[in-house]
Amino acid sequence: MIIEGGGTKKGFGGLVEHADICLSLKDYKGIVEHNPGDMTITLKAGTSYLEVQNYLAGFNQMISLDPFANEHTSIGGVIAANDSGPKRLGYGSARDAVIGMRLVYPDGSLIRAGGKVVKNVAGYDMNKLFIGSMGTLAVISEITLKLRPVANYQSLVLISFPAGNLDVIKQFVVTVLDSLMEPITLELLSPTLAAKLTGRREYTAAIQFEDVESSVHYQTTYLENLKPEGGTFTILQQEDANLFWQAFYDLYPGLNAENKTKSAALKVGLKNMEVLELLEVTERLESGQIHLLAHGGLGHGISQVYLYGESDRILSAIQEIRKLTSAKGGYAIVKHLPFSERLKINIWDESPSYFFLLKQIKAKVDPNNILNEKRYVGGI
Amino acid sequence: MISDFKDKLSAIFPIEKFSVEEGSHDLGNRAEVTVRPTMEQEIADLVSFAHSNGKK
Repeated sequence: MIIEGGGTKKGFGGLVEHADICLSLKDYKGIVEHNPGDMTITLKAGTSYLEVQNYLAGFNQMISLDPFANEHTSIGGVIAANDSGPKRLGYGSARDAVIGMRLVYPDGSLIRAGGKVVKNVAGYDMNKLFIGSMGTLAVISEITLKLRPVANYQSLVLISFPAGNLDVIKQFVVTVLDSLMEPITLELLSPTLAAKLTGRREYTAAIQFEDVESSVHYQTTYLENLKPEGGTFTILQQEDANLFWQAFYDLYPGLNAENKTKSAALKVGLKNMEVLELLEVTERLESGQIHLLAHGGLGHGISQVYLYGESDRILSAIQEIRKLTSAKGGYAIVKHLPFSERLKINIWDESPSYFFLLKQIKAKVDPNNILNEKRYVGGI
Repeated sequence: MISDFKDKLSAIFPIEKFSVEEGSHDLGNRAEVTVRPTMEQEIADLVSFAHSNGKK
């Protein structure tokens, strides 16, 4: 049995092409309970992420998650894949936002993890086991999330580094991280990606602030004083910032019917400053045969690389990127790749040292491999 | 999965909740049948069905 929500992650994992049953949760949607005073919401797993955010905007609240493909994805898909974007720096990840779940175990029994209130410390936090397990341990039925108030004001600062000197970028980032500033994003765009989004082919930092207006202005002014020599400093406020981010998320290759079979997406995990080396590698690999767009979080170390080209070029570029991640002790997971190509490469990179634990948990919970077989790391 | 699982499945699920997915399957993830439950109990019944009738 395979499980599907919004269908945005069909190219993510999965080495079994044919299943007997596709459990589609597209019609299993809706708000079960919303407590505006407690700032919590309980949703059915198939509920559209975007529809919930639009509903919550009426209460000046939001789900503090930042997934890719956000116009199409379901909340269950975001949680099952532990998806997150640049705003993870300020918002945290799914494991920070989820406070309770209802799940259907592989034998059909219903279980509950966590609760519906923010202050809940009884027992193990079992939610964390299921978040990011790609639906291999249970079918997520309901999710309870804590909410965040929508900020009064937001600004996105784009700072370009025309010299392309990574030491200058590193010094800038260290200064920002050591300061009292509280950016929601501290994302570095590769020159190729920056050219697509801003028209300037230069390393560009995208730094978002969300707070009361005076605080946002104070922080953007602070950044302006750190602007590198010759660099551009652009502030996108309120709706302009939203438009930038939407264009940013729309680049996700799994969405575009024209190129989704000749593209790949990687999620790369490294130490914060090693993101600079990753982006340097992606720029070096850029050629007439393969096109790479990359961005990385200098505050959380998670990067995304989108690759476009013929399959052999894509696979070769992934191997090159993995040389770096392997040398640094990081990882490069393939988030999107056509099925035939997924068979040629280890989607999940090298299994982690605790893989034996994952295997034993799967064997205990789903001994017959009923749910999403071979969807997860190491063929789980 | 036993060969007549669709018949067995149709005995416990309304046929209107079945569908055959249209369009491209170039990313994989094909299935013999797609079921779209609308209630939690239906999900549980479906998983339980797969557990009982699936491979051993």
